[in-house]
Amino acid sequence: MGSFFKILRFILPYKFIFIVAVLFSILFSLSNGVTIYAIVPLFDTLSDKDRTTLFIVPESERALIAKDGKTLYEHAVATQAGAKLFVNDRLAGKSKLEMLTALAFAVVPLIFLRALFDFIARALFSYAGNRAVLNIRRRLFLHLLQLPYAYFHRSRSGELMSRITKDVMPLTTAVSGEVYNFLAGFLLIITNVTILAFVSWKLIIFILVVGPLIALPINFFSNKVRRYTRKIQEGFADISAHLNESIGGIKVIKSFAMEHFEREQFDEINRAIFLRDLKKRIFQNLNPGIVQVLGSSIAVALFAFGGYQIINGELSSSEFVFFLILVLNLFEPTQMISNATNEMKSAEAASERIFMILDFPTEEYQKGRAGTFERSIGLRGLSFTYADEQVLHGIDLEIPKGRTVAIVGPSGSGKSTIINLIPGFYYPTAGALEFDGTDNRELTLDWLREKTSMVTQEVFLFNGTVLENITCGAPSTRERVEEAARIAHAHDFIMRLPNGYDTEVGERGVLLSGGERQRITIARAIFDNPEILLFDEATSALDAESERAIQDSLEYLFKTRTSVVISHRLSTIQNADIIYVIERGRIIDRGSHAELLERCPTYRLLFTQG
Amino acid sequence: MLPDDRPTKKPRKTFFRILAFLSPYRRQFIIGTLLALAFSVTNGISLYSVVPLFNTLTPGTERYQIHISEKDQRLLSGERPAELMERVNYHKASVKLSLNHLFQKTEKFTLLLYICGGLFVVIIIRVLLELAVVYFIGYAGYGAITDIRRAVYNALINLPLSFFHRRKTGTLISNIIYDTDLVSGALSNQLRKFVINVFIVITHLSLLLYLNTNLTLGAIGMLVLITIPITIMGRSFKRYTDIEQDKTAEISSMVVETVAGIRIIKSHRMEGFQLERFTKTAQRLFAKVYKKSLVDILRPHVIEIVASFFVVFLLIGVGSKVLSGEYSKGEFLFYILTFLFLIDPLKQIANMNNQVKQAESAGERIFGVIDEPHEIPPDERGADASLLPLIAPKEEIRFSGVSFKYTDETEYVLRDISISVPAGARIAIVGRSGAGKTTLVDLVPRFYSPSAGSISIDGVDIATYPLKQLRNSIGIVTQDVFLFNGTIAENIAYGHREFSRDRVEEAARMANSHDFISRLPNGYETVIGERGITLSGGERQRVAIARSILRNPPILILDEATSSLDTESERLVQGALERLMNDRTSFVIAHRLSTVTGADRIIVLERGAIVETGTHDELLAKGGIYKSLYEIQFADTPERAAREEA
Repeated sequence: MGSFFKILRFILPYKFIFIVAVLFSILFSLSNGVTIYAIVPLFDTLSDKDRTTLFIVPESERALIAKDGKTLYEHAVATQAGAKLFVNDRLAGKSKLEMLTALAFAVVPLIFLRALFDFIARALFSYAGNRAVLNIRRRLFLHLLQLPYAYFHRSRSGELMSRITKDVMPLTTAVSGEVYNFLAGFLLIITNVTILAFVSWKLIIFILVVGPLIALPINFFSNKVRRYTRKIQEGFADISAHLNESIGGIKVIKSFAMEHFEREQFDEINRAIFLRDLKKRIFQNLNPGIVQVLGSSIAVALFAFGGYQIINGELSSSEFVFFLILVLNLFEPTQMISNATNEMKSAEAASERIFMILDFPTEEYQKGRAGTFERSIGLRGLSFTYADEQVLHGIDLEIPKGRTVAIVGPSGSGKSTIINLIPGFYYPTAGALEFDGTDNRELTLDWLREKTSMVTQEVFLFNGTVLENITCGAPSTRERVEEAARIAHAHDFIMRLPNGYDTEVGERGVLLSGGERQRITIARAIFDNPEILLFDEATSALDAESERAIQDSLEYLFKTRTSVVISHRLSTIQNADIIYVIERGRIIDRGSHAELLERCPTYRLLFTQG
Repeated sequence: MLPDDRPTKKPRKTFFRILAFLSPYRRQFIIGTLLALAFSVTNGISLYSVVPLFNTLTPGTERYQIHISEKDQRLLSGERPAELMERVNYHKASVKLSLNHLFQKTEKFTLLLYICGGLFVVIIIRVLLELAVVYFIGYAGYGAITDIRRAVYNALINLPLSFFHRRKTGTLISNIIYDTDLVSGALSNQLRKFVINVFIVITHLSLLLYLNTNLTLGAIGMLVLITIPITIMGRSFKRYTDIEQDKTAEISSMVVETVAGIRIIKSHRMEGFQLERFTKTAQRLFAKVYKKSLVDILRPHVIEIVASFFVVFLLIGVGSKVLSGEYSKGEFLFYILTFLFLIDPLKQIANMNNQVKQAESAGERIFGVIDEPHEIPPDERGADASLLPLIAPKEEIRFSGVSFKYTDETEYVLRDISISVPAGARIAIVGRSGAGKTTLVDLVPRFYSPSAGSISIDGVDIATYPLKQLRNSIGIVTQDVFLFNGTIAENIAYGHREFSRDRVEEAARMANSHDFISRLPNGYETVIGERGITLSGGERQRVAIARSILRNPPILILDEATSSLDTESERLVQGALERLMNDRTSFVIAHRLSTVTGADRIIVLERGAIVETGTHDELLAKGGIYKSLYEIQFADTPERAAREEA
């Protein structure tokens, strides 16, 4: 239950609502008891031919009413005796049928109250629970945003999605409804047992001895249930991932006419879920089944025991009936507790998976101190190893403030890794990356990320308007946005869009061409106006004309700040102040375009075989 | 959520379509139903046992006798009656009489123990029956839901590319998983509860009828009364469910978006902005879920309150009969208990209405996908494409007056394209972005069909070939390389287990990828992730090319295959592509004009129309759009100088 209790923490902000809800559920269980209690005289009236009053109030109880200095228990007895006498007086001289009618109508408002209390309690629980779920979702998403970049290399995006949408669902049920059922179940049992104690001391002992047996098997199969729930969730994560793959690769699937093959793969995962579902369902039903058998055997034993007493004249049959009704009323709460336990087990399996994400350490944005950037960024003997593979070997590289530094080299040589190290997406395995001589591990991520901005080949446009995509939510004037768009040569085509800057662009930006999307991201970088620009192959998806169109804006962008540029386009890098040539994670040369063209064979190879 | 342009189906119809998925499992379902009937009978028996139990419970040692009313006694003393109801009563009375003979011989407490023992056995049987019902109906329900998921996936994967044109991946995935999950709730658990509860209601009502016809008819009246508030609540419930669905899908796609763009989000410090957007959606989701839960909570109470009114009349009605001596108190208790135990199943059936509504909403969306027209006709669907011979052009591939526009758009993407591509020739298509280059080549494997005109191979319209055969004959290498989760070998063989390792390696060698694959930790068995993150762009492209080489397609489409590569990997890939294009009819799209200069013919597209055709030299000499494109790329750049130097 560990993870589930961790989840319950999310209810804490709503503890006030929670407490009120608990009060109402106490009221509910009390009114439930009173409703049942009201039925007893009914049976008495019917069975006892000589009765003239609705209630029989024993002398001992009458005496208590007048007594001074009552104990708490005596108070309770006296109060209920007083109430009975009051009703008896009101109904004095009425026929039995009239008494019966009066009693029956008295039950209606009781049932109404009982329903009202239950409704209020449940509604409050649902509010607190759903709020908590909202916070969990938010927390998960926030966590997702703050996870280190390396985490995303390992996880499938479909799986992450399944965490936030699907795994949260069993929590909703558990936190908003089942916690209440669990609690209400307990309260109902407590009130019923208390009333039982009033009715017959003889039988209550019997119940107290055998009753706890009912509770024993409640958790019998919950481990199995939890195991299958986990397996089902895993199955769904697989399905999610497979779907993601199929939809992303739909063109490839179709061009290879492999629909059939993909479907078979899907079937396999799907089939596995079927069996797990069925097994889980059976184990889930075994619990209440066993509770029923045990509960029923207790009821049957009670019949035999109580019957024996009645036959011997030790117990009145109406008392026994009341007793039985109360005992029967213990079954439902027991079932409620049992079901709630099951549901909470399901929720726990989901919680565990949620905490697998939440427990993964996030980036710490505030740790360290703000740095300075007056002179340069320096990579000093920097090495980097990822997944047992050494990607960078002893890199020494200097990025002076205000200059444009280009990094070129064959694919897989480690260019992107160098760029990823600068804003602290990764940290060096050996050596250091320094801002003005300060190791970047001592600097806050907030500072690092504020100084830098990245424009990459993967064009990322989120669901929202063009404007939002440029400003990324930062407050700004329309003029500033338009100015940035103009510099990025994006203003003209944006104005041609149906709603101009307010046009929505989709998840995959399907409505815009690659060049247009790229220009929006460049406008974003211009708008962001970072001190350090990290430019990772951002123009490679453009055709020659689009590239030409943004060449000027790039020049402007590079010239006005410190830039680190990766590109295989000569036009993009030829004006760089320094060009580093890197091969297999090592710097093999540095210099200007002309120098390198003259002396570096790798460089020549890269730029003469277009 | 999915299609806003499609008329919504009648909900009832959707519900029956969902039920139709049960039909392959009807055997399990029928067995389950029969067991549920047996279950409800045992349930009735255990309830009825309160009558003798309570009547036995009187102080004293006299033997227990069933109360036989005067009317029954008169009936027994007379002839066997002819009228049906009277005959039933006659038999009832005679059973009572013979039981009384039996009870006369048994001591009261012994009798009580017998009844208790019998009751215990009945309860055990009842629990066992319930578990069996869980198994059989669960089997049918989960089986049906598995089939539904399968059907959606099958529909999805067979949909034309145009379907995916606008839709979000997250939304589609949420459709399949979340929606089928909702249907699943209705088909498995709820279906079983429904069957069991219906039978319980039936047996309880029959028991009540057996005791008293008039009162029971009143009870049935109440049942009708209860349906009114349920129906009203059901409507708002469905509306909330629909919105909940939308918001859930929105959340899904936001997560996908975030994972895809995490580097940009982090470097632009957009975490706060994204969180705010997410919170807004999640809050809207919360509001709906909460309102829905209120309706959910209220429903059973409404039923209980309506039912409680009826209980009052029942108490008075049955009570007065006990007072007049017509019923024993055991019978009174039985009547009340039976009625009380009727309320719970009714509540559950009413709650089911929620699930059914949810399932209907979800079902509508699911069938929305299933009902989309498939692009592959039914008779071709199961066929193994690898068995059909590849279509190898012997003379030419011809576009005759081809025009194209997307169904939901007005502007033509392609206008009146007529070209002839001789067999074995290499044709290059150039033009500005958005000119229609990709659309033009997408028509060849029939990802889209021309709005006007036709495409033929050696005079045969491509529309007449089975789609799979056509696509198998065409190899496509695009800029977005898609590698699947799995090993490199699996990615190259892609679903064809019959390709031996030797042939896979041969293809990899031809694609210049054997060397780097051999250097990987597990060679060909190296698993590459969802996004193939451990391979560089060039390496991934070469794996994709190896995949095409292995298939040996006679027709080849290269759509910007080398655009995202740096110069060195481009050289390796280009080499692989040259080998691939040998002796094949090829369409090449490249924005880097240097890669198309060697084409047999170059077509220049502008706004969907052909504006120039010819060889590289012809087009340069012509001095038109091609020349200007070429100059943009090479003129005045040191790149050109470098080329000339080299």
